[in-house]
Amino acid sequence: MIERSLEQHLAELHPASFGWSLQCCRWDRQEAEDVLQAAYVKILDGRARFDGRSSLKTWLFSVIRRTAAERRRAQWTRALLSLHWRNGHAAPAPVATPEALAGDGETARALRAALSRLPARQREVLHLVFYQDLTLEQAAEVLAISLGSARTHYHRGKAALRESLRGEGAR
Amino acid sequence: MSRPDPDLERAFAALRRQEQREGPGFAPLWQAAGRRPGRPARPRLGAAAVVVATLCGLTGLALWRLQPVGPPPQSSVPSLSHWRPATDFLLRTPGREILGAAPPLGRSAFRFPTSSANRERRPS
Repeated sequence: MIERSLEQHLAELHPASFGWSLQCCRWDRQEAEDVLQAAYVKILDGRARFDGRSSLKTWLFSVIRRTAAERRRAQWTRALLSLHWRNGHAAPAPVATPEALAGDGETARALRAALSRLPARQREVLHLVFYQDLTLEQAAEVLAISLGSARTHYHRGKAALRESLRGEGAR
Repeated sequence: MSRPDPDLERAFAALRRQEQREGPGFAPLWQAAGRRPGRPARPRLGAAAVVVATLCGLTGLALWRLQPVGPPPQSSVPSLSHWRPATDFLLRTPGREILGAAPPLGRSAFRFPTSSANRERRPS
């Protein structure tokens, strides 16, 4: 019964979760799907357990963020060990460039390009606040940082993003 | 928190609509996650760590217990009952037994020549 309810909640949050996963994977769609699936596996086998101390959304986003970070670390380790190079495989998935995402709306394309130039923390805070409609407190909880730190990243990120978007518009 | 940024909000809303429209459905990912075998590596690792720690503890305890138990090391400091001060010899004066013991009644500690004794020796 409880699991059924959790599944329903996760289904409702799924579009937002995918958006967050995309952001964590720097818009690599395949990687974002893998990360989201890996997060669901963690929830199903009990490695990630919701204890009700925060909202389900912030908890789920923390799980997704941690999963993405683990996968990134694993990719870096593999790259360091040169397994990919020796086996003749491709390197870890590159960051999706704005050009690669052809067909996107112009506004979305410009925003994605501007966001990709920001430091990760600023990008994450702006995504959580503007895209996911979280408060700064909730964003700080997801990112496991202090509220003051989240506020600083928010203001700096916003200024940098406006600047970057102006540059995009001028092109 | 004030968010008077209608331009940014519009841009993010456009991005959200687009990404969520093109995203995968929940059911395929959830079902695939259910089919994917879990990775209970951490509990196994934890159990192994507990076993190793227990073995190390038991080995240490056994080694500690096997150490030979000898007599306690002799102390270089003499006990108080055997201790004598370095200036003790100064107290060894002639006639100190007078100071150390009560004199017996009817008898002097020293022999002095008396007149009665001379009288006794003289033959009458």
